[in-house]
Amino acid sequence: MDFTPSLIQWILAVIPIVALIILMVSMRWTAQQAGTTGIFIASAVALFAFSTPTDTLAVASAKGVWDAIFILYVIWPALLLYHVMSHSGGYDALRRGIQLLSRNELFIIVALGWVFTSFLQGIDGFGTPIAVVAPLLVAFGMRPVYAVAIPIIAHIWAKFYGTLGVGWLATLQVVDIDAATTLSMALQSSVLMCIQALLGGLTLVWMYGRWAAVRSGWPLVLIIAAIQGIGQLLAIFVDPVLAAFLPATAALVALYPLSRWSRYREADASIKDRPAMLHAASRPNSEAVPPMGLWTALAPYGLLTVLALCVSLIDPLHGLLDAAAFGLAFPEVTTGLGMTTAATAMYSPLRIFSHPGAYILLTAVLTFVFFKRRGYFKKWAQQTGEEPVRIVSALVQGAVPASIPIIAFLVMASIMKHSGQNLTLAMGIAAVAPTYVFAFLANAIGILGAFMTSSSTSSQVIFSDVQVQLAKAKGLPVSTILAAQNAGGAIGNAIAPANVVMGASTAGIAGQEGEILRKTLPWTIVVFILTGVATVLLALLMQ
Amino acid sequence: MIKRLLQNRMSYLSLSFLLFVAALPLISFGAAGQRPGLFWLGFISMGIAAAIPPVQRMLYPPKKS
Repeated sequence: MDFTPSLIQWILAVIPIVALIILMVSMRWTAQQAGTTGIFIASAVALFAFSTPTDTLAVASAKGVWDAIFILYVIWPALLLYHVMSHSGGYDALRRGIQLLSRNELFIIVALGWVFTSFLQGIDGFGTPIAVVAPLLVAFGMRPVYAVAIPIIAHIWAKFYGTLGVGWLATLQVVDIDAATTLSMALQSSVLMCIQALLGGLTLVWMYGRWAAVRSGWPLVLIIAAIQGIGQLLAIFVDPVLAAFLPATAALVALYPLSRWSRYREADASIKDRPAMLHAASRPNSEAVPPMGLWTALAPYGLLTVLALCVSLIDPLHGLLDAAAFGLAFPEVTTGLGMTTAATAMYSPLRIFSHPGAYILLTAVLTFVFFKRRGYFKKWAQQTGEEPVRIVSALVQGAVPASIPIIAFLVMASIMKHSGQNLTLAMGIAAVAPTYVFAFLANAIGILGAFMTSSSTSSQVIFSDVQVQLAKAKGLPVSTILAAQNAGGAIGNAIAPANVVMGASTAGIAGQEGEILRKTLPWTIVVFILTGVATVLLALLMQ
Repeated sequence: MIKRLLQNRMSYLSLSFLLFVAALPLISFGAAGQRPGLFWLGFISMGIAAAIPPVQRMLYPPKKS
């Protein structure tokens, strides 16, 4: 493909992204309104500046809707589980039970918001950790905006090697590199992701209780970040596919001895300012007694973990479930500037039984049936004095508003990809940046890909090969630039609109996506800068 | 009718959602199977689905608190 974008095209390609941020963050449009407006802006740029015909626009839009189904297949079951738990008193039981396990609020938030979220990311994907953990943190008494922002930030380090190495495998599929470069890229990626683990933990603690919490929590943060960050580096030598899962599990196991440490066994009275918490945090705010105990309330999450592990790690079962795949056909499409996307008989097949949505759905249905038979819904309604809620109706009322922006963002991303706007953005950065400035900015390309597609894997697929070509053209080590791409693809998830919408919907604050972005955007900028600096140092070292 | 639709959040979002979902097979079968009728029906469905939220915002902007 011979495609050389101009400066005007680069500026125009930036407009849809800038417009999305301004509409959501500054003008406080809802994600539905901003996302769908973004479709029209990206389409106009594609049509007038990138010579994209209407059939290409239509095919790109339809592929975007299909891409969204992978995320909606997590959101709808996760919301079902949320409503089942919420209307049976399950979350109130969890809140009361967790109080009994530890009196140290900071420790519990680290355990749930960071360690458990990361563990889920090790085996699951498509935003499942956010959808599962955000309502748990709300149940514990956290303000919903923080309950979404914290798990989003805290699981970023596990994005690339998470979901049993999906990002890693995707990268290897799209680039042609030798074994030594592959190993070097893997190790450097892990080094860069240590920044994400450490800053994720520190930010979580700071968000919870500002500097008093940092003073109290820093040993815990250092230990967990070391297990996750250095553990990921060492796990590369075992198997990169398990590089997030193994240290995430080790951190989960380490929680038990850490909970016995006197520093984290009792409540810390020195943490007075707790902006992330509601005033009545960690205290049940009603007289209603939940109809179940802690272990019953935790059982659905245990079942979810067991199902995820079985599907992921038992090869014959995985193969059997993986066999049922479904996808739609699309013809070859092109643009007037020579961007061509090949025809496909089955675009991005959805494996309906091995997708995380399948076992969240199974968990939700089994939990519903069990709780219904035990009469928990009726008992909880009597306790609270409220009418029993129709679960399916509540699910639709939450899931439809959450689905629109996710579809809209992915349609917009697909239009940008098919019209060549994505490629223009990456090539433009490389064209204007001197060698080491490009090394600094390389992770920004990964961030851009993940921001637009709400997926680190998609960022890898779109930009990894472009990064290899750019690294060679600039005379930079390919392994280092690819590592920066991998790190950036993970970081971008902190501001990915679909993640934010998913968290907002499961935390019951749909429409406040801009508030969540205000929490995660500063973290993203700081991690981007530090990753850029580390990339330059690695490039110098490797050369 | 359109006014009533746009004043009910669940109604207009549900319509938008259904149109997005309907557009997917229409565009796929229309484009891959060389059926222009289906293709354009899907494309128009996609356009209306995407237009509903911003049009609703412009016609009924949120009241400032």
